[in-house]
Amino acid sequence: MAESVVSLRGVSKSYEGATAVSQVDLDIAAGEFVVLLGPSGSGKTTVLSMIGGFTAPTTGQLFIDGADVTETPPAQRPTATVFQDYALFPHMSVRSNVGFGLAMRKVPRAERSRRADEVLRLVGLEGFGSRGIHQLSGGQRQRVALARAIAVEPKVLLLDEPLGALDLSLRRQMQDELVRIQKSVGTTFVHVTHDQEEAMSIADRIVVMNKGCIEDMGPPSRIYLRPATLFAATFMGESNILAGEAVEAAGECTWIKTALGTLPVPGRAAMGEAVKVLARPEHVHVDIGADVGAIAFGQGTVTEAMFQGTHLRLRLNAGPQGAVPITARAAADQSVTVGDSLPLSVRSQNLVLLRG
Amino acid sequence: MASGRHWLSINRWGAAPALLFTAACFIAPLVAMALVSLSERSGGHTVLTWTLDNYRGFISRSDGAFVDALVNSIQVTLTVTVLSVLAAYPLAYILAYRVPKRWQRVALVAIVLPFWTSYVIRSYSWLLVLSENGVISQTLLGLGLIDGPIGLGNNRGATVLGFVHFFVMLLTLTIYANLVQIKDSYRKAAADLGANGLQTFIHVTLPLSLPGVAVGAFLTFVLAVGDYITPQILGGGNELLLPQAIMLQINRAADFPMASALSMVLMVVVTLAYFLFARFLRMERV
Amino acid sequence: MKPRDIPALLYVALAVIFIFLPVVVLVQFSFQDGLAPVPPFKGFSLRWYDKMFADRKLMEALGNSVLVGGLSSLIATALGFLAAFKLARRPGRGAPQMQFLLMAPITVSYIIIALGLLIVFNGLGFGKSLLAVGVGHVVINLPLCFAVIYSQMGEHQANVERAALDLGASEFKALIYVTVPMLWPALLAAFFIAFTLSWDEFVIAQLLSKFDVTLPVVIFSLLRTGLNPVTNAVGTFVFAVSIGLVVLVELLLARRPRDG
Repeated sequence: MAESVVSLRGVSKSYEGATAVSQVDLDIAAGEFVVLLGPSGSGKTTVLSMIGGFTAPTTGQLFIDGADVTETPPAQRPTATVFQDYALFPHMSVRSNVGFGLAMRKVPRAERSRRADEVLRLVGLEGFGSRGIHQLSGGQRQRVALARAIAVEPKVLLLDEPLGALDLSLRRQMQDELVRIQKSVGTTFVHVTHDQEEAMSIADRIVVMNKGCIEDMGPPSRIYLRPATLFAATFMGESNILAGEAVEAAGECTWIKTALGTLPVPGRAAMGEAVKVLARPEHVHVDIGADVGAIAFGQGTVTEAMFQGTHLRLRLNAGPQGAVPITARAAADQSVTVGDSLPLSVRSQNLVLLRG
Repeated sequence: MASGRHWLSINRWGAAPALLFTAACFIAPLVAMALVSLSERSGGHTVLTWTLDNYRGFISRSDGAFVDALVNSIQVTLTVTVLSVLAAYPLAYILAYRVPKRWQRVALVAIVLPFWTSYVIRSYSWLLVLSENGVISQTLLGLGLIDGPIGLGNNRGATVLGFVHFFVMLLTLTIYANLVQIKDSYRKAAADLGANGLQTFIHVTLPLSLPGVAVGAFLTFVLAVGDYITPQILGGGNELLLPQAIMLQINRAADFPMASALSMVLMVVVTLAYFLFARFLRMERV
Repeated sequence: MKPRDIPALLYVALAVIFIFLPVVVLVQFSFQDGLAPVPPFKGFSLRWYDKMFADRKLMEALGNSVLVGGLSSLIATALGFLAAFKLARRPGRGAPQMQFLLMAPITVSYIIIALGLLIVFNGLGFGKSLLAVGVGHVVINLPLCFAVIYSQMGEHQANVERAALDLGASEFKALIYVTVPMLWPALLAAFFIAFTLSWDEFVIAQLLSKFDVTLPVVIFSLLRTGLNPVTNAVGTFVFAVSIGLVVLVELLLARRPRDG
């Protein structure tokens, strides 16, 4: 705990019978870009709000930089927040907005202006100091909100779905900018989003939340390729989930009996245990000889083939009587028609054992 | 069947009845009044002679009594506006930010319940409180703090009190409505950046609420400067305000030209106030 | 209750005392058994209310107030609705000017409006009457009715109307079956706001009426004759009716129109 910049211990939040956050333990290291990811109602925004001091936890404690801040109001916490609607003061110029936190700390005007301009340069808005807020585009406002929070040099910078209002290309651009700025300034960022692609693009570590609890926590690649829970698996991307039963152990793997055959899945399970197996669509091969190490699991009849730009998205009926729907991918230029029967295979190491 | 095609469609003529009515019953009377202000009484009739006598009379007649009335009106109205805004703002602020959201509407309606008394009765009821036979006098008498009954009414102070009583309620309503539509996130952002309660108020809440307050203040000014009832009931006979002077010219003196001229003066005052207010608002934009 | 709340509470308490003082006194003395409508308070009695209801002039004036208020509010609401509809749906050229014109009477003091109308009516040979008062009340209420209804005519509204037209309704039918039902809280609110203002209005009523008068005019003349206990009863009665109307408007506005 000494090296974590933010620590939550047994934190929960309930409102009149509804629980928003339930017994959360979380440690965030200095300089980390952490993303709280989850659907609406998952509690991610409430956790952010508690770190910022806008919501008091019902139980549990919150530490920032080793100090217990559970009872401390926002003004006295070393945090700064970028709000979802930016909350830029409409009656102040860009420079005054950015310098506001410094003004509250009684920094003299000349120094304030200097530092505000410095931060504006950092976020790519050099020279915008004298403009009014209403003259800015959505992306520019977003940067000003970020600059305003950075200017007070907080220990933790909190971002509440800041990119939600931007269109796709602008959002991608801002995601890159956020990472660049974070690395440049070195501050710990805690970012809330419901967009798993966004989370994977920017996070050092993703915390997947659902219904007030943490489902999974780890670097983007691990969460995507080897999710810990069923929810995390399906939330992070398209998934083929097969129900099965553990029948035999085999070293590092366990043989799981599924409707598509008995498959070797990395991981341990008790004999007879009911489990689920995850196979990502991009790991399901649809041509023979493409991958020698892959395990075949029968034929599938194509029911849909959709062009997605980089690939063809296929829906197939596989297994006995074609009762198991499988989503797979093919090369974009492959000719596939509805009704084709294709051989399905997958590498053992790409399978994931899940419970729940 | 495209709308707007039919000859009698609302989309074409909808505003016509209201506009015609306004032109006939509002514009025309004002024009008539302006003309009458330039007329003379002659043998029981009003004759348009394009004379400025009435306006000269405004300045010179009765030792400048009319000018006094105008000055009194402006002084009283400005005092009332300032006092009412200063008293109402904290009340509206407390209602908007200290009362739990659920109870705000109820609290608001409850606090300004007396707003819905008849305006005439409301002014009169201050006499029940202020006059020699009124509550204050009789209570002080009963407590032995004074020797004889004192009348606190029938003077400018009572008029101001009567006005402030009404406008504090009106302004509480309007300022409250204005405060609650300021986004919560502004105050949260200010707090997040280190501002304490007072700083948040001075740097964020107050500046953002000023335009709304200005509108309320202007409304107060316009309503108060043209009001006849409160000064008539509470002001006593020693000092006249402009609307009372106008009333006297209509009822007692039947001097419509003079009354019209005085009304035009009143309109000029309100128009000037409007331009000052509009300029203030435009400055606020920047 | 935190200690920092105490100044706020104190202020609210003082404000409430100031605001309610005259009205509490009024109500209290309307129930007083005794001639002097002033302290000290002696015994409970409804005799002033009996006197009030027995006073023919008062009751007639009350009826006149309701008549003038009802009719003028109806007309103001109707005119305001038509204008709001046109200006919200199909503004066209000159819309800002039209709006300005419709809202203009708000900034003109009642006494000036009354004088103007008096001059015109005298000039045209019409004397003072309740009709004249009604006209005056429409003038002052039309801008408010227009503003209230206009503010409720949003995009959502417009889309539902377009849907009705798209499904084959004539403009008139769309109005009757879609627009008016969706807008009825706003229409009723406009009506009651206008009624409340008309019901209480003094200056226009006094200058434009002669023999048949409205309630505020009678009340005012009562005051001329010195402190009269019946006045307290009348005042309290009017207060109660106004509260009733306000509660009604609150309930109307609080009811969300059914979606769809």
